[in-house]
Amino acid sequence: MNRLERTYRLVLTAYPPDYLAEREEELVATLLAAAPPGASRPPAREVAALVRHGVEQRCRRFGVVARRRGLEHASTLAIAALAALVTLVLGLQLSPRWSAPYPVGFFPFWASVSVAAVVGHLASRRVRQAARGLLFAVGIAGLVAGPASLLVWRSAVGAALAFGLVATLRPPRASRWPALVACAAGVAVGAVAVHQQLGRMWQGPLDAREAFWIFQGYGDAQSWAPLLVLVVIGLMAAWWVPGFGLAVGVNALPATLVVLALATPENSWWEKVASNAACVLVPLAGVMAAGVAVASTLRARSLHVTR
Amino acid sequence: MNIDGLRFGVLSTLASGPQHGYGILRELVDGGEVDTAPPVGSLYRVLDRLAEDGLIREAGGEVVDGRFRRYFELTDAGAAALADAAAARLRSARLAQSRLRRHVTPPVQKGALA
Repeated sequence: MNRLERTYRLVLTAYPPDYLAEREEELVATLLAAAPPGASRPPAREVAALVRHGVEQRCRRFGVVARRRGLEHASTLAIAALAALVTLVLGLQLSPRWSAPYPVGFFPFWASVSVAAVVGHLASRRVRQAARGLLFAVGIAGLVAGPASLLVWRSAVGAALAFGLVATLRPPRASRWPALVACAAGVAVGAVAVHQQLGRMWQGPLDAREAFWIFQGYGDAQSWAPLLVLVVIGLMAAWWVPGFGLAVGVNALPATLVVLALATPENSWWEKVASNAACVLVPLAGVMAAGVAVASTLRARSLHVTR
Repeated sequence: MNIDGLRFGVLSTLASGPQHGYGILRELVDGGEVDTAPPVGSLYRVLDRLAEDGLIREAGGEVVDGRFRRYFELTDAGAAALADAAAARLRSARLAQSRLRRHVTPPVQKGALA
């Protein structure tokens, strides 16, 4: 066994054992036959492709079937956004200085929306349809029954509708790298905001009145976290949109507002303006990104190019 | 069913008969379907998905020089999907050609911005 073969067998450990039991020899034979003559190390491109395929096969063992391009990244982002949110809220909950009341349905609601969204992207067609139906139902129920004044509710409803729309779409291939960079930027913005807000929270105790206003959506962590999740969702929608630049532009404005608001002193007039503007702009951005996605999908279908 | 890029190439290769992984790679390059061979990882990813979609199936294997080769072949559904995709590509190629025939390069005006 030469060095190249040893390296390939090492890379192949990315695959689940039962897949390897059936396929390892065949893969190694093909890899060695396809290797450039005299090569002692595998091409980076090949290693990347093997790891990707191997991880995908491992995911499949958990019943997760990634069906379309970019879905792995989208689900990673959804999970990252959810993790950031849960970390933030749990951090606040554990802090002795935070005494704001939470609505009973807050955690289960966000968890179920996020899980349904991820499942809606990844699972088989039938499960996907069920998840979509659930998301639309949640979105519409939230619009009808939710306390309209609560930003958390508004954001959650917007997120459910946006997720549902994105899960419904089957747009053609989009350009990848700009989307990846933009998504990374969205996550980075979220991380900075969480850090900032946690720092701000710990500076002093909150009385009930302050906590109430914060929960109502006037410029603090409780309101920013869902907003940032929405920005990330918008960028995820943009991932599949061929008219990608427009969608990023649409999302960049509210993201900028969020950053500006976080960078300014607490409770300044500018923060309030940015907070309120972002309340309107972020859901709007989500809807517009979804609209762009629908339009470009219809256009691509009528051209018969991708099918 | 989305048949693009490598999926199309693999189905097209298998249309000429059962083939093993490396054979598919060779035919993709030799037939001019791709400029450089795709990574083996990508090829097997596509093969797994095509098999899952019922467009190809495994067709036995053989041992050559101590190495196992697994053969894949086109199913009826795969042949139909390939025919549809090929017709669609032909349509858009013809459209592009007919447009190109009518295409006239506009003369560059002196002093115009590039």
